[in-house]
Amino acid sequence: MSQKQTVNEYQFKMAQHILQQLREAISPDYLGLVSTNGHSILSLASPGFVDTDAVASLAASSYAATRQLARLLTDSDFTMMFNEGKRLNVHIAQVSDNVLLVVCFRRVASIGKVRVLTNRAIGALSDAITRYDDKQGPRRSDGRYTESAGAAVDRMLHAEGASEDGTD
Amino acid sequence: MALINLAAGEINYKIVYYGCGLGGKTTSVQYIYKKINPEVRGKLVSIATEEERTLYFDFLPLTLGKVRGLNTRFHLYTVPGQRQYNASRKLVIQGVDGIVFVVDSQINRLDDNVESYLNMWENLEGQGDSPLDLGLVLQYNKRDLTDKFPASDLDELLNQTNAPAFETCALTGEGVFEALRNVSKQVIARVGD
Repeated sequence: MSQKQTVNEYQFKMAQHILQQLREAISPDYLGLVSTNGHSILSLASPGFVDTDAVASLAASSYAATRQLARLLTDSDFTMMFNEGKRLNVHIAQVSDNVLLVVCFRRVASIGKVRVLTNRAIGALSDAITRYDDKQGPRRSDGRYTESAGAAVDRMLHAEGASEDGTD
Repeated sequence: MALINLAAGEINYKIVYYGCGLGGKTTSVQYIYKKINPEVRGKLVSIATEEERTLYFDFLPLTLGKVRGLNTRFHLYTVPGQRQYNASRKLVIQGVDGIVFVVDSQINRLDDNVESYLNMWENLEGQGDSPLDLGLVLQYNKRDLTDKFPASDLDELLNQTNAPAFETCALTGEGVFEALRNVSKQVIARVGD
């Protein structure tokens, strides 16, 4: 059986609360908790912000590549990444073994303030995620998820429907 | 590793298209992007060289919709197939739930296919996974070409685990959806209820 990473209700609510506080303090364009595998766990974004799935995937990949580079060059880990853009800055930091925090904020915000408050939030997030980690997690459905999801896959990939409907 | 977010009611699966360079991984994902219902697909992101060879990965999110209260999503990735990009391949397969191994059916690509297949095993085992524990299908691609191995030979040479195999032509899309459908169902079943 495949491994799974489960986010339980307590972790999610705590994370939501912590990210909301951080959002009020630094007014970022995007705040996201992202799994190191590139899945978005929780995101708070300004209206019209770009595709958050793509942001999660690219941020996790970029972080993984940088960390691997650090190991190769210095035999140690980087625990955060900072990218400065013309309009936006991006700060990516490790929260736990499997979770990253991604912050996109405008250049008008003070980098120092963002870093200090983000680090504080990471401490609180790390505590919430590790203390209430429930690796097994409760059963998530009534036992018929597999069957129903299989049928939904058939509908999504229905050959005729797909080839007719989706053509650009 | 599927991500199950119980509070948000979401489940995310990661499927990776693996195989040798120029075998049809990116073309398969591009075909899916073009032909699937636009309402279920997200943005197709490609990190490629100027010659349009995959440098890091392609990424396509698909949303299955609510299933028994859980918003179910698949994230499709490709790996860069060229030999020198193994470090990138290792990163892309982290946390993978299912693999579509894309075989270039041309006779002169046999060595590349075998090398890539062995590389996949090695990389998965290196991160503590086994292909036996993951969803796995093989796409015998480029079936439209003439100088190709029969599917039965490819089965014997490459399909060491008797995984479901599909004869495909990624350019026209023949078999591509079928392979994705099969691996999707495998990963759903493996993660279970």
